[in-house]
Amino acid sequence: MISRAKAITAVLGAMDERDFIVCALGYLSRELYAQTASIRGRCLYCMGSMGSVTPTALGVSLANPGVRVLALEGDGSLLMNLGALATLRRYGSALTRLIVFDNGRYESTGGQPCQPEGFELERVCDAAGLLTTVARTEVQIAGFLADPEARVLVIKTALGGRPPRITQSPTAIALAFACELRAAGREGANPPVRGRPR
Amino acid sequence: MPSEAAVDRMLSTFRELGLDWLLTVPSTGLQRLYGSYESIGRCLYATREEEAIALAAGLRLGGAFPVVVMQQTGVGNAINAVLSLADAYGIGFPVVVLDRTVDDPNLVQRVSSGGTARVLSALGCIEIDWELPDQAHRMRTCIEDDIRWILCPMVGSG
Repeated sequence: MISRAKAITAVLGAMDERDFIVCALGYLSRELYAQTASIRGRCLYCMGSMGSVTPTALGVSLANPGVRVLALEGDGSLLMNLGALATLRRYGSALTRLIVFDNGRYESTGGQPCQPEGFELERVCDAAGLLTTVARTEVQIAGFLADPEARVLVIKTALGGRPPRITQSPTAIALAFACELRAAGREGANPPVRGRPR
Repeated sequence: MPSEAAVDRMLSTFRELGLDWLLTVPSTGLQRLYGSYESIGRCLYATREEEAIALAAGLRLGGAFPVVVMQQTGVGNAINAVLSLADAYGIGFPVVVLDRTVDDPNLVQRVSSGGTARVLSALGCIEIDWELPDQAHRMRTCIEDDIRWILCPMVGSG
């Protein structure tokens, strides 16, 4: 097992500087936010919409076929939308990577269990036809990101730590992310985001 | 089920407005719409409506301009993703809801339709009837004014 903070540090250390990240709500996003002051525009920090990270990352990837997008999911968040595995298998490529932080708990709400005893999320991902590996160390995390064929990584993480809240507004996060994507080279006439609907 | 003319109007309007990806959980009678987007590889079938919303949000952030199409039964599934992802992050794209109406022969659909219409009304939806001609300007107004929800009665569907 590895701590959530160390696992995120390992992902950030091993990712390509051109990668983008979409990250699930709760302590996961808060931890990522705390560690990514220098690459804010490359991260979409979700603060709600549990279960939406994988399809959001897939959408980003489909609109930008040359860009690698890392979907950082919690195990509870993935369980909320297991259908995303089918959608990822159907429409995604190795440029859309799913990284699941699996601590078996809803840690942000107090550590309630989110899986039955012996449940193996990695087998679920693998059964969906997505090449899945398990990591318990920084070296294994780096190996996944260096493997061009890998699709899903399940990192076994320990409970612990309460990162500070995200202080940036969600609209500022989205705008920075969209602008960074445009700067990364996508051609297109559409504005990246519109104002909030009434 | 919508008439072919209604589906054609919807399709031509979507194209005219530059809506370049279609995200949907399939609804009856829209094969022509799906087929048109499938032919250019830009029709994605989601497993649930909130997934369609999240896919659309990602596409929009990536510079595309998607439209989500769902039956009214999917609105309840979609609302959290709309409010806490698309609305909260200011990610604009239209959500077209096909309403089987309170006259539907399926009694469950009647209940669903009535309740969903009230919810969408509270969320500020605009109604467009594709069985009528000249609806493109109403849809254009929705896009220009960033109106999220578009409720479309599909009388006699099912």
